[in-house]
Amino acid sequence: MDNHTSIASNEGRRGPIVGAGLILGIGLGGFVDGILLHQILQWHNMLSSVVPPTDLVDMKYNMVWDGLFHALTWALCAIGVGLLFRAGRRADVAWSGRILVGALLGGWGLFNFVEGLIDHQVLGIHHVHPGADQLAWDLGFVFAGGAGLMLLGYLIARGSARTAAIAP
Amino acid sequence: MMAVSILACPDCATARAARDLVFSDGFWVNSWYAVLPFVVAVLVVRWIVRRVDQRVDQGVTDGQPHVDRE
Repeated sequence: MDNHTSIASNEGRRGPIVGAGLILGIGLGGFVDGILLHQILQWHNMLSSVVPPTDLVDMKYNMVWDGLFHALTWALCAIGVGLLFRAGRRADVAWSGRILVGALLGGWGLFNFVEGLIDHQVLGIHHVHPGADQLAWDLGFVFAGGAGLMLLGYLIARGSARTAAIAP
Repeated sequence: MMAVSILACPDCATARAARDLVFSDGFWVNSWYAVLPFVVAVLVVRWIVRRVDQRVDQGVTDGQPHVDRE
């Protein structure tokens, strides 16, 4: 039995479930950002540094862009569910809860990391918590909410790989 | 409850002004701003998935060469 066959039959492919988990994680992570930071806490909106929501028209303007942002996160969740369903129908996929949870957290962290770098640092279209300490909030979002979650997700998924590698 | 009626209006002057602002010259640039992080993140996911599958094809699990358990 060559390596390819033995790995596929004993442990399974991880790519499909990792991909589904990461895409779902990006979508769900985007919803956390939009629901918690945009709507509940109202710290920022999608374009609040471009058009500050200081009157009703500008608030409505930002609400439209928040809505489009949520539409994108919804689309990614739908794609993620589709990918997960497709992975579940394949016999050669490692069906592991730890890999899925690790990928979900990794996707959430990836979204925070990329969104934090592009929207907050490069484009400057909004900041996590505008004001005196806005750079500290932005960096905290990128490193704790982004890199930290990615690392946590990787460690959880890797634990699953180690368990599979030493299993009798 | 005047404020409520203003907020709820789908086609009053305030709503029209906001819509005009959304669909002004900056619409496509703002759309690109909204989409860009998702595009980058999805490209990274694609790269990760390819890498994960490549490692399995090469017989590498978690950085360790795979040992056939049979």
